[in-house]
Amino acid sequence: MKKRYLVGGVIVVVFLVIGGLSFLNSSVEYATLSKAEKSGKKVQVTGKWVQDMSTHYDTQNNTFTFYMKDEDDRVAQVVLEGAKPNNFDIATSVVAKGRYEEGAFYASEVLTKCPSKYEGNPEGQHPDEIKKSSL
Amino acid sequence: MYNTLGLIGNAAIIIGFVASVVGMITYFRSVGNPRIIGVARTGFHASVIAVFIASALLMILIVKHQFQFHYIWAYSSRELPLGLLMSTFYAGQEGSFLLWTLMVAVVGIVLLIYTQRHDNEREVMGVYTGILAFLLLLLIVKNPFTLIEGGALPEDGRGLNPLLQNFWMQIHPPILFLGFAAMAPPFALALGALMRKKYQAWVVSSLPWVVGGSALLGLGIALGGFWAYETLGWGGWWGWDPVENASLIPWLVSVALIHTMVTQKRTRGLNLTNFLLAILAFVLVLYSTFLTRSGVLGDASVHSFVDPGRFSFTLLVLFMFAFTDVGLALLFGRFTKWGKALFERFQGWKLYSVLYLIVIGPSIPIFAQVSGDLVPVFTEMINAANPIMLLVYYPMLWIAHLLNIASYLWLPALIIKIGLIGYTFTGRLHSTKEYDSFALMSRETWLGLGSAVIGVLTFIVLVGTSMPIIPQFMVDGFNSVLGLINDITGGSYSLGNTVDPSFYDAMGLPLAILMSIMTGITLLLMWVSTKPHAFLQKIWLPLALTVVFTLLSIFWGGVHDLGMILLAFSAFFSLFSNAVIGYRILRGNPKFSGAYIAHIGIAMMLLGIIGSGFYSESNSIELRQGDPVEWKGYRFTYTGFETFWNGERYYFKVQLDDAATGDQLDEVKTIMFVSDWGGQEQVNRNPGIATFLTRDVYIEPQALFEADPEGGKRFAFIKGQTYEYGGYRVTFEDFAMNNTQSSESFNIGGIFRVDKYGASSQELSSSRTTGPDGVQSIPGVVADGDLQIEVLGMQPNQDNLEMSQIEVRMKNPNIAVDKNDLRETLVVQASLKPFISFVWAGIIIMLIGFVVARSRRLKDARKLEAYEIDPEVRKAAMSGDPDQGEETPESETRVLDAE
Repeated sequence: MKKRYLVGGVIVVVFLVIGGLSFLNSSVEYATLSKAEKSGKKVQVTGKWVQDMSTHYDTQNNTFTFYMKDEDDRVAQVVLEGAKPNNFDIATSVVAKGRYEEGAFYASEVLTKCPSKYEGNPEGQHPDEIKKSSL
Repeated sequence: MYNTLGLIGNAAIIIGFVASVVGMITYFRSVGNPRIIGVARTGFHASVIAVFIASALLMILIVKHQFQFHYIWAYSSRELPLGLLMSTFYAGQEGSFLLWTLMVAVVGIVLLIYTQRHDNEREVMGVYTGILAFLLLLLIVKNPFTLIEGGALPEDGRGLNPLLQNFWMQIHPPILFLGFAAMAPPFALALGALMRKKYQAWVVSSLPWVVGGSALLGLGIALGGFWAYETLGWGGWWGWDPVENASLIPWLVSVALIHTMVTQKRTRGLNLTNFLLAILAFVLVLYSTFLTRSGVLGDASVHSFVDPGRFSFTLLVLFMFAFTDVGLALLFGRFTKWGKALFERFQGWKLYSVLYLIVIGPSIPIFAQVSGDLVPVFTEMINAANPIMLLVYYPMLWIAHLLNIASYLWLPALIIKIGLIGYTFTGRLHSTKEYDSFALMSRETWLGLGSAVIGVLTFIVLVGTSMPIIPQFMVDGFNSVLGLINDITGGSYSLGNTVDPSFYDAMGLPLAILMSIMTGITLLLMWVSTKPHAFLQKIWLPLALTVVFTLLSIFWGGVHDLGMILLAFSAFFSLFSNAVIGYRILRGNPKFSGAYIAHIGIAMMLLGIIGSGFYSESNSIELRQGDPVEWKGYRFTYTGFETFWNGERYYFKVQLDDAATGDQLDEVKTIMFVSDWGGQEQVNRNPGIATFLTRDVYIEPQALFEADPEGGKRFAFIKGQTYEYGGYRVTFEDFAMNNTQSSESFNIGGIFRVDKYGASSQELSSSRTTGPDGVQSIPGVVADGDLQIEVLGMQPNQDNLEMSQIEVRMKNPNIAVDKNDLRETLVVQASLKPFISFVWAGIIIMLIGFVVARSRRLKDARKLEAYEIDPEVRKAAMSGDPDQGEETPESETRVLDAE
């Protein structure tokens, strides 16, 4: 009768242990560019897109290159696998996930944080200002 | 006149809140005083009507473009077609809370009728009206009827984010919120049962709600996935994004709950588990809303968010705690010895005080810690200046705030809390020993084990998704402990702030394999116990089919990875054992086939995931207009564009032909356009998909390049940067300005290192001089003569000279360029998604299974209305034919009739 609990317990414990270890392996830290360069691990860097530096879309490799400035004001080239992300231009900040290698940050994913899906940014633009600017 | 409507809407929300509070209190009071049940019902009805009025008014104001309301101005505009215009109802936080409330109100009407028949209206509707009150309170804080200060009427609204301007925006959110709302009745029914001390019958009467809720929430999640795949172009339909996970978690809990409830219905065991899961499913919906609406996941999710202000977030957390604590207090009082003693010893307000002290009290410091510095909350509250809200909320917050100063309090509180939860979970007062008497190889046992596996998956997704909100100091603390362990073991483990999606894939794979095997085996097993030979007799056919199909997928389908082979094997096994038995059931009495159909759907979905998720191929293709490009047996041709949306948006058409026969297969319309939503230009892209039976050709537009009469390609370098072009790797080494700079002429030069992979590298210099005689450009050409680098200009960076860029054109001078050829080039990312249709078909079949199961469970519930199952009758009914494995109509009817 207790076999049932034994089997169940074993399944649960085995998976939680595997899960725990794999969890530690695949967890991604928030870091600055300098920290990313030092560690060489996959990290997540938050910063701003440097708009006045050029961006480039490489059609052959399908990579999008731009420059980002992190919280320490360090600027680095970011090479993203894929095209320019949606909402990129209106992003108030960007989050790049990837590794720092050979002088550039190679990102597998870039998240854009912006007034979007469920949130507007009412402070940014008051209707009065819009009217003024359209006059 | 419209401003008046806004006022009415405002008033409706406040009146609705008051009515729901009155309704909740009178419902609970009516337990001892049946005469006031009329008041309670009126309260509930009034709040439902208020919600309807508020929703209708918001819709009218949106359709009538009343941009003096901040919410309407912020999310809608005149250019939107009616359908999308109406969908702006829930484009923002306030409106989506209203939609949620509306759905809860609609579901509530059905629940009221249902509970009246089941004679548990007072307790259940009391809890449910409380949920309504909470949502209405949230709406008072996040009110869609707020006027823009000054009341001026803006000409037009800011509009809906163009990303959301597509068909599924009109469908997915309402269904998802309906699914969220559908998690509330099981919670109310569970709490009602605990209050009434009825621990068995509630399972039967809740099952149709749980199954129906899972179906709706599942549909909502699936539609979101389809939206992401079909329109948003996220490449896949599931990305383990925190927002996707957040709605998956309550769904997984509700699916586990179905299985444990079915187990309890048969065995009378797992009582505590079922209460717990029913409470969790609802609380996790609140948690999900909190995760996705509070902005806490801003750094971790592609659904981007801006912090909407702390107040609604704090309120959500507060109610999450409150609902959990009420459930916990009841479980503690009903299932544990000490809790029971406490409930018997104290009555009325004394009991509430004691419970407040030991159950809810410890939550306050934890809550204060979680919600952080509460001072901004006070400011916001005073700004909102809603006296009712202040009254309700202030004392609690004030205490929390005081305790927050003594911020060390949260740790002992957490220990007390965990201790109490642990103690409650060991409570066995109403558990029956009967469940323990079933053999290991019985369907009851395997249902329980299967639920445990779903539980593990839920836990893994929950922890992974919650990672970003775990405070940094805890992460640091954990890492310092890990550091010690690493020193001893030589490991290099560390805890980060978020989890890579690969974690879920890695963990999901073995769990999916195990779950599929279990769904296959469980339904081959019989209730109570299974004789080995009977089991073997049943398993051979599905097993044989499974082996054949797995071998086929290995040798013919090209599935070679071990994990995928195992997953294919287990999915085929689940598919065939459910199909073989399900077929017999279906012929006998189709209403019992729900579980089999749902399992077949899940197995098909897993097969689709193997194909589309793990054997998908993709490639970036440049399509010059009219020039076909072949890839994977398909010929892609960019044929030109069409405009839509008043000529502001573009379809870029790609014709797809069979490369072998030359037959046209499809013409897909990819969408790419620039919008200026929020005053800033952004590119929007939607993929085009050619769907075939066994695969999708998925074409995502990436960029459009106008024809460049000079040919080649433009690049911008900073020092040290490398690009690949025409088989060369080109690195920009340095600027080389010559010394002839003067007011008349300006010179830009650069030195490039060029190497052809493996071959020796060479250095090129190239320059451009702008002088009185015009532009003189001296390009650098490689020794083989097939690459030329021409300087076009530079972009100096004043702040950091190292970051200045040189702009060049690289081309192969041997390729003649027709300067009159002005055809543009569309760059697409083309992907093959094998068997993605299995995913959609599987999900649809699974949902059909849910619907069938729901109608059957509803019939059960009707038969067992307000009936506490008699163990003796049940036992007799089941022991009559222990070999009866499948739920054939005969056995089932007999059991029910006997009851």
